[in-house]
Amino acid sequence: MEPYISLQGVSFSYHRPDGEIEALSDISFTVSKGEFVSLVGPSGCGKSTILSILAGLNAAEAGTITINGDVSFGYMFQQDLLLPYNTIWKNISLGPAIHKSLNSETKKRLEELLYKYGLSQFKDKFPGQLSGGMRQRAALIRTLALNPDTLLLDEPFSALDYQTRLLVADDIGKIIRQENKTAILVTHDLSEAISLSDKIIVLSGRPSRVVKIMDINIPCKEKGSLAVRKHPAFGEYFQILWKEMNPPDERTA
Amino acid sequence: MSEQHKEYLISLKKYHRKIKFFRFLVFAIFLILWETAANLNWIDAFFFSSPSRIVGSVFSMGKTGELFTHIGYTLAETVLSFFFVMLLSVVCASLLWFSKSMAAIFEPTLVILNSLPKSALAPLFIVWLGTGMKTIIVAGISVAIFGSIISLYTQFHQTNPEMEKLILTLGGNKWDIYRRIVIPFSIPTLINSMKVNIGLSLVGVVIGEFLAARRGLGYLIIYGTQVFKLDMVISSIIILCIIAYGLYFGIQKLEKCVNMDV
Repeated sequence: MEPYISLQGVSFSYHRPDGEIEALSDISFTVSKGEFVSLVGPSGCGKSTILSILAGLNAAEAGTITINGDVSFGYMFQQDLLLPYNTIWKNISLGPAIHKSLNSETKKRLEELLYKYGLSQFKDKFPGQLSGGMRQRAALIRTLALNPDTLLLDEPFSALDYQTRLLVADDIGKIIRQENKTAILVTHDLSEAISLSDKIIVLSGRPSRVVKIMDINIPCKEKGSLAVRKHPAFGEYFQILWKEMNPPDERTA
Repeated sequence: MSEQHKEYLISLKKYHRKIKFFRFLVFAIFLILWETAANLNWIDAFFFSSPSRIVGSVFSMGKTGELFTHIGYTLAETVLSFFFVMLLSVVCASLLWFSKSMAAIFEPTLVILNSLPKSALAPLFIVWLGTGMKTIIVAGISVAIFGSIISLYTQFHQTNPEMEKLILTLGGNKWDIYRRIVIPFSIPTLINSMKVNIGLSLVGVVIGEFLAARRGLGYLIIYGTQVFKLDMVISSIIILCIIAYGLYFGIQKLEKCVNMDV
């Protein structure tokens, strides 16, 4: 199968008056349509930069990015970034409002998404009146509103407390599979990555290089990330990837 | 509602009543002391006036309608310069936000102009613009505008960069960021700067009237001092207090309306 999105030798540095920070070095990987791919690596290693480059917010300094066909990206952030002065409805319709495409058709779609993901009765509430998990779900609907085929998830669960985090990750993972989206998740949480993904790309510390690419084949993926966490294979993958992320010689050094 | 909560509400009400009572009491004692001191010649009522003389002065000026003309002028000038200060500072701060280079170029100029004692400019305005209402309004604007631009621009600049990124990833441009993020997040600062600016505009207008007016409370104060009608001077100052409070109160009302929307 021809890859949907492919990165070849992508490099990127941040330029500041006090020097240059090399964030990415020779990054190559591919993503197939409908695949859920996670980028894991230590905090601050430039994982998010890959998403920024894919979203077109930064331009790669070297290497090529090939995208097969028309891909529209949707971006999800660490914080929900719901606008506190707008209702949930206005928040989730922000994308269509910016694109001036808020017609009866998109409105109907948004209503359906709200209903499907249990936020219908909260549409006239303000973000401050919702729990953290509901807010993150609202943020996901805002991202889905423009009907992107690929979701770029920039540590979207890390601002939540542990309990909520497991539930919301499960929730959002299921939604993404149901909507048949391609997803690229950035996280430093290995178990979160294994529980959600079809493929994991392990990155090194700054500057980020690809250390390992591994397919995750756990049979109960459709049942959500909580089910995957209970599967025996989950632990095995964790052991293998943990060793990749923390080689013994580095730990003693 | 529990008994304890009822008690709490009652004690809260009592507390507020007490505060109101003492506010009134302090004010009343002050007036009585002032009046007594003047009547018993502890102070010279010619220089220090007295509540009764002030009331008399206000009445006699009010009867001819002269006083209302002066109040009207000062009020109109203050409101107009306040309006221009807000308009100009929002426009300038927005331009500076849209162009980073422009902000960098004008920053030192703004800082210098802001720290300049603006009353020093008033005589120049008279030479340039004559002694009419225009001069007074420009004087009012000059006092408030630079600080207002700086504080608004600083606020505009403090928007969460993630929020800006959100708009960009949803396909928006800089104008969308401005309209949907920067302005709404700046409303509280905008209202605060309105509160500051209404007071500063009044200061500027009175300074302007001192120097270049035939009408307005500032003129009354200067004129009254020159002809030793100190009742008139003190009456004018008290009316200025009431105007300042009234204008501030108006903006506070506006703030409540805005907060209710959110």
